[in-house]
Amino acid sequence: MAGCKIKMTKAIKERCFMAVAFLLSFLVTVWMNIHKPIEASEKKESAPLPNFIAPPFSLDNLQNTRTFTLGADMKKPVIVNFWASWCPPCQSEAPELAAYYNKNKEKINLYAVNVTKNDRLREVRDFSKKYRWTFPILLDRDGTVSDRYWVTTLPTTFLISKDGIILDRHIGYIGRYQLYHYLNHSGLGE
Amino acid sequence: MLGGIAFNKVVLVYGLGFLLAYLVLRKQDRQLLSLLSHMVLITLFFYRFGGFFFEPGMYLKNPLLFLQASGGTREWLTGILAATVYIVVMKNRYALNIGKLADISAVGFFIIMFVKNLFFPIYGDKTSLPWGISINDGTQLYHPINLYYCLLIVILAFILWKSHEVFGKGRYFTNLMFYWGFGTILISHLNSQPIKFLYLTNDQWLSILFMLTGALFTFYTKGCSVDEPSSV
Repeated sequence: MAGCKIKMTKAIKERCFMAVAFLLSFLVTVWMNIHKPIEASEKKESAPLPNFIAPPFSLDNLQNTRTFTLGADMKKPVIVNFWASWCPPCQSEAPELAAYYNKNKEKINLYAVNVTKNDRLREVRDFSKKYRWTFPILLDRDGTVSDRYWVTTLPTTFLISKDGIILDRHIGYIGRYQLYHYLNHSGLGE
Repeated sequence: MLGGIAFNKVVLVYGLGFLLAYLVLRKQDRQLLSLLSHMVLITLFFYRFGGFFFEPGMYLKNPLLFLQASGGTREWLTGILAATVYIVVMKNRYALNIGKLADISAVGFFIIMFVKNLFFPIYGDKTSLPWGISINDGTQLYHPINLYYCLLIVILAFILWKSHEVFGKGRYFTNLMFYWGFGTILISHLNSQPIKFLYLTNDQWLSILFMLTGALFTFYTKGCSVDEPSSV
């Protein structure tokens, strides 16, 4: 029983230590996040990761009427969504993207980059018609851009500031909440 | 690529981690180990084919999707939920030792994490330290966050080994979870990420969750029987 008492006291001490460590790490982390200098996270190199410069690209649209370019000094922030017509989560998020763009096209651009290397053009057209996409659908015919953006899972979505810095990378289905969060994240929210 | 067959590096590395974890833990309770293996397989099954339950029409129209498509967050969550249901059913059927189950799963998880982090770089903030890693031409170095995670796992393993904790009482689970969360929240300050909710990033919330899980599990391990000498 003495062993038990010692063990119980140790358990209480351990829990107290854990509670203090937990609270301290939470509060210190919040404080450090609030006071972190912006230059600490800035990375002046091109890579498909948050805080890095977005790898530039130029791609033709589905209608083959215009070339869209992503680089520095853009007029609006851009959401770049990599997708394919055969991908189930891409189908799930398609109506969300359409509704979001129709409501916010004055504030933000949306480029839907189709990984055409692994897709069929006819199905890409049917898909965009079905979901009434009005934003530019760009064709990554040889997969160069998706390789440059390290896209291994579809869909993958990037939020890029008008200075060409990646603000966020989202892998998998993107919902309405996350898309509207992007408006605030890029400083455009109401 | 090997001839006409493409191998997914992610799958290979996780497979290697799983194999290593199995080899390390095989001397433990065989029944628990097979239950855990089933849980992993159930989760993977739902991750790979779970899309069918959400978009059945699409799969029936194009059965090749079963080979092409893999899941996202919702498929992962469905898999974890199914694995949890499985273990609850099994717990009722057999008298499972939860402490042992927790210890085996924690050790297995961290072995897999170690192997994964050895192979996949995570680029943190800029650094001038000699062990920094580069992305493009090597002119700019970044903190190798994945190697810090590996180092953290090695330190945790060393501490557990030196503390002579009894395996199977849930103490390994508690310590690994709590101190992993604590360590990763410290490391997160070298890896600036977008703030998501209440001034914390996704990774920091995950660290908080680990710490909470570890701390709350101490309430399970608090039991003290007379015939058990104190081993702490």
